Amino acid sequence: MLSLLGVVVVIIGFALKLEPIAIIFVSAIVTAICGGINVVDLLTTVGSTFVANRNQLITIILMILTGTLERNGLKEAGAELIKKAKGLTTGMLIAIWGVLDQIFIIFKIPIGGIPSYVRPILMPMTLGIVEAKGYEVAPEHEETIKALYGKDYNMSNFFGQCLFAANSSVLLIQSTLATVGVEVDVMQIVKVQIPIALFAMFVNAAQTLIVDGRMVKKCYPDGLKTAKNK
Amino acid sequence: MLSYFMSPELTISDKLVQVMYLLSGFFSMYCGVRAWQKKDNDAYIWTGLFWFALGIVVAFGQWLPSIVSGIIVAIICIPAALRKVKRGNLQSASKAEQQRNFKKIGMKIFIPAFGAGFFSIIISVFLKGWSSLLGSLFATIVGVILLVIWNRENKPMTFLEEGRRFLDMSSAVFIMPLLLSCLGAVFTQAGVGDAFATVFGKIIPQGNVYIGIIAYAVGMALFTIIMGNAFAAITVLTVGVGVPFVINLGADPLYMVTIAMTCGYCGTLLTPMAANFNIVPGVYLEVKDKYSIIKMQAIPSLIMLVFQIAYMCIIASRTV
Repeated sequence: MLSLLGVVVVIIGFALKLEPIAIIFVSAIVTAICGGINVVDLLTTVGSTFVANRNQLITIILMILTGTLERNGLKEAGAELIKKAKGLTTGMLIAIWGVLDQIFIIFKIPIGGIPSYVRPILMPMTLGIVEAKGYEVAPEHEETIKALYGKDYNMSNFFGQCLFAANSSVLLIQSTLATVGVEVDVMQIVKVQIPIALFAMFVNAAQTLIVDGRMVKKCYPDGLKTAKNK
Repeated sequence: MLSYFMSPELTISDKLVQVMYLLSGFFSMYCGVRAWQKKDNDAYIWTGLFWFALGIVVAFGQWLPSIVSGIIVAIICIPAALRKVKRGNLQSASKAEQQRNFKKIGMKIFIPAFGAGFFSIIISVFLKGWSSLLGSLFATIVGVILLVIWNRENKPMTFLEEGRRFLDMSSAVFIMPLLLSCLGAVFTQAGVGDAFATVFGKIIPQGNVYIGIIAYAVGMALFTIIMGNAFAAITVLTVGVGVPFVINLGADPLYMVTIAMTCGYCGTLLTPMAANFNIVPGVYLEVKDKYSIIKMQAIPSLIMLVFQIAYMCIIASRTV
């Protein structure tokens, strides 16, 4: 029973927002002391587990490529892709971005992100759709758009990342299964996640269209169907 | 080490995976040395130590005795735990340069970008017995070659320094999932799972796999709401609830553990504890209500949780 103290350390530590690695470090030591594991055994367990699961760090090698991709215009290419879509409503643009974002995450393509993409590129484009009709953007609508973009990225990220075989979440699932005594290939995990990713993509887009559609109806006469006469 | 690569008993896939570890480790060591050289911030000694020592275990883990790896891991944890692994002030290419390069290369840039996912799928479909992770190695090699052909300004140093910028950005949190795996192993060794099961056994009625699934899935979401981190939750709850109340009753562990992870993410969507996902983006967007993103996520999160519990129950009903 005493060995549960290590779990308590993890729960309290994370809840108090202490440095995660410090929490893990302390929890391991507490667990070892309470569970009667000596220093040599502790270090051996940690060493062998770290080495056996270091495939979780394999994205290091990809970084050699991804950094240079950005330098060579990957972000610009992403912006071009979005610009090709014309005549969209705000909701459609946000929903399409959500789907694209999830595809980028599934293939681990370093586009997207709120500070580097949504803020400088997509927000002005989305607000521009309303302004092009001759209306001021309603403050309430603008807040909704921001929340939708924030949600878009998280939904795409959380339910897309497990479709990339070398993602740390997939590899953590693999190593957790290994401690239970089940050896699987990462692609088996990816296959299990496919229905979840597709369903999330649908839920995400549907919510965006419904919420934004309602907001547009509420904030603008005629629901932005016709441009305002100047 | 040489005998490892010469050994006829090991497959080419195994050897290539080791090559990938060697390259990744060397790159991490390079970043450590550069941090020492460049002195970008006041914690450059610690930062360099972190990346250099990490590189040693990644590159040579296969050949180091476990106790030595364990000691190095403990050393890596020190600067990370003290928050002494800091970012340098590494700048990417200017917007103008990115635009110029885009004009040169154009939409083709997506080809190397899709590489890692593409090669992983190719390997799993056509090369039976090969590790899908090698997709990352092949994608990097092919991608680097393409980028050099398309733009002669991409020199070896460009790749190394741009890669260093990305590794630098990922910071020490990068190794957290791996450390959690280690903690999970320590938990198992100390019998935490059994102790946990005894406690939960008093709350959850044993013997009904569906109640077990609901406890495991909802437990993942709740633990993640409290801790703000699904990776920590899965380590604890799989040994404590997943195994005794679900897997031991005959449900397929591959499906149960895999889906439990994304059930945890439903919790991440609901908690201000996961500030970097739910609060910080709102700050970048200058939202008026800092919880507006979480509020927007409440409904889809619950829909996803119910969907995943149903998915787990359907899979379990086939084998139990």
